[in-house]
Amino acid sequence: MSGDWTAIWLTLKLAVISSLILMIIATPLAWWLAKWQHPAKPIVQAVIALPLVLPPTVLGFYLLLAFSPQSWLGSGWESLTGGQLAFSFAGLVIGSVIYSLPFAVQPLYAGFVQLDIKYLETAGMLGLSRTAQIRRVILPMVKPHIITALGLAFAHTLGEFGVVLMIGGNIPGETQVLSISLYDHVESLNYGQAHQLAIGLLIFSLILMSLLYRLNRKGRDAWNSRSG
Amino acid sequence: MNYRLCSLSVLLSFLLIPSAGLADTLKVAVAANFAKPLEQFATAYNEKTGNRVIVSKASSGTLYAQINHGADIDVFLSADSSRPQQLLEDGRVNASDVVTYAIGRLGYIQRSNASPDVETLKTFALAPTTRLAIANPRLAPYGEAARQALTSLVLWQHVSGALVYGNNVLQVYQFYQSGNVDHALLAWSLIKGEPGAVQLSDELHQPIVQQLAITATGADKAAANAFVDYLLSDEVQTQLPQWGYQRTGTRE
Amino acid sequence: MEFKVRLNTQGRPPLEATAAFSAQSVLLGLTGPSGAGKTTLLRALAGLEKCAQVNVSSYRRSSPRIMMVFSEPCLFPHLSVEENLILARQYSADSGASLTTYTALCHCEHLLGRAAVSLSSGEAQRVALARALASQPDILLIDEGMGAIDSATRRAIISGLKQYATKTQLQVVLVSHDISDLALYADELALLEAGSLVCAGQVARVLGHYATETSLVPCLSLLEGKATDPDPRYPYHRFLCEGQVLYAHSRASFEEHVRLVVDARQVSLDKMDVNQSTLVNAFACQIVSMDTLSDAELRVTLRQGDTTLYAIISHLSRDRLGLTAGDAVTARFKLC
Repeated sequence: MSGDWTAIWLTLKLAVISSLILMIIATPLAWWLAKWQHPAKPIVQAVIALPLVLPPTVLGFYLLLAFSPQSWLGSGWESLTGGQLAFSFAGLVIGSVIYSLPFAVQPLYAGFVQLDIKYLETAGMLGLSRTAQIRRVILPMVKPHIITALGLAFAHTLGEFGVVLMIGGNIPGETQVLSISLYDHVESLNYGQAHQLAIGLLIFSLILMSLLYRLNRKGRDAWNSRSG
Repeated sequence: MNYRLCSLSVLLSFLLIPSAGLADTLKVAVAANFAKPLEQFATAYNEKTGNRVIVSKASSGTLYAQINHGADIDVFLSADSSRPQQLLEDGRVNASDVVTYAIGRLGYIQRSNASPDVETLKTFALAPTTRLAIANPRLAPYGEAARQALTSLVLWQHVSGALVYGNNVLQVYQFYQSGNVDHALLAWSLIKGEPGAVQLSDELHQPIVQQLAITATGADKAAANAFVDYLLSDEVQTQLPQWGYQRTGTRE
Repeated sequence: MEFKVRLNTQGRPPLEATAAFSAQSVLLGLTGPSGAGKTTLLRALAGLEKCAQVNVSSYRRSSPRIMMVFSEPCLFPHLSVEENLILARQYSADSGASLTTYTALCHCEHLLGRAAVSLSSGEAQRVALARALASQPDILLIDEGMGAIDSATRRAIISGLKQYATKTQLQVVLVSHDISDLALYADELALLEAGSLVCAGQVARVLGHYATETSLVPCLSLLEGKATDPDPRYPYHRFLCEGQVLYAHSRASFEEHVRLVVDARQVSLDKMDVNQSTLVNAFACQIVSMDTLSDAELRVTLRQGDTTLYAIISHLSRDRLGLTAGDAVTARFKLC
């Protein structure tokens, strides 16, 4: 059972770190995408959305190849850190970030696209610098979208299985996350423990998603009354 | 209106065609490591008797769970003996339905030495600089055999921190092929004939007894029995060594 | 204030506008037909059109701080009214007056505690104006941003704004379709048509251009003069225009000056001196010219002193009265 607690802790750690990194990457990406007008835009949007439609094992497979010391990514990482990307927590973070990317980018994109440029023009004329505009106008105005993006990315990473299965190597304390642990229990006919983990994960996800929707309902309603 | 009724009855009649009409198609599920040889045997069987064998592969544990929940499988070839024995205990099959079909062997593969032996493994494992991939001992018999071998060689305590676990031997092989590990212990059948591979002595571990269970019922049982007899026949068994397995004794 | 704007965009007629307005002009009215480019001109002045070549200077400073109020209020929805105003003042040049100055001016003091998203469009426009003032600009551009406010409140706000602007040396450019509103309040007018400023300067002159050179409606005249003592029996304002007493409803003025804007169709011409009708205002003047507008009517240009008055009458009336250029007539129109 202690192995399971390690797995839970590891999973939470992975979800938190991946979500935070993802928000840092996804926010400017979604902003740029919202402003960009170009014939190639649908292609870029499709590439970002790929993890939504690709089987996770396909993604995991390509990551396994990319992490190998024979590839530029794997060898680059090795010369930089002396360690290996495959079978490492860092590798899982990279996998999670890619795997959950559309879940973070798409809500943010929707928020930025809806944001009328006139608000920013007004803020600029009032004398707010670019940073002040971001801090005091843009981010507060897309707060519901930020919450959705963060929540979805977190929840999605919690349940990640296929990618971790391919690149994790099932090392306790390092890459043996909850979903893998669950799979192990099922495979070794430990149905009792499997049940415990599964129910726990299910309840946690339910609470998380309910919180998310509740937080967002407030934001959305407040803004809908204006157009109504 | 007439047209719709017509097409509906055509559809229904398709559903009502008894599956027996599809000339003895056998559904066989096999553990990952034995998949390739089995597919070849199935093709040969088809040429010989005209009966089709559909092969699906997955991990032994998954297949066991599926069969237990009613999956429509006629013959289940496991990578170990515990799953078929478990089916026997569960009462899903009779004792006569469980039989050994092959003996597996453990192999070691690595990149630096062109013709390695067990000493190469010892040298590496005593002071591992990179990772060693084995199958998950909890799930895969080859993983358990690897663990046993490392223990017999008194290497386990040195190398256990550098281990990485594949779900099955195929994944272990994938780890090696993709360049992410340089050392692996896995089924000999997968690496036989490759550079840098060596078969390990079977005295280092418990025999990897691979058993099958005939889970077919009713009309399909006869066809299943026929196929299993073929697998246990000399024709097939003498081919096992070239696949990297050891032949078994005759059926009880 | 002086400006020079040049903007060439694809798919739109080029915008080219150069004008210089007197330093005493506090409120400049900008008008023109839809699609003339009024919004684009304001945006260019505010620095929001990246491709425009713009030179703006005010008499207060050569690089004036410009604030524009769009026709949509654009109040920050995540803030309350008060927070919107505080934000504007926080980034303004100096701490300025208290917020109540601006909210009183814009008739929105009672809205301070409300959430920005809960306001009606009229209320939001008033707050947007207050917010713009709180940022203490040198030049304020208002792009039809008062359309949802009812006319009585609007006039009150504009008068208040003029007083405030005179006090603080602010210059305001107000865009409106309603030229009669602008004519009442603006110190100078500018008329924009198809991307060029066809006429700019004194209100009477621009109105004259509007009346005679364009096919725009309505045809308006401006009469103005010094206020005299009102008749205590009635709530009307009295003023002297070219030495003649005229009456106006609302005091479209401050200090001593009163203005009256009258639609040419409301003006009747009388060859007789004595008034036996309910048309309150009588203005003695001379016919300068008569221009046919259509089969049915013609426009008469009348002058007395410096004041030009237009009347639109039917051909029938002209023939009946035998009106010709040079005739002395009395123009009569109702109180307005």
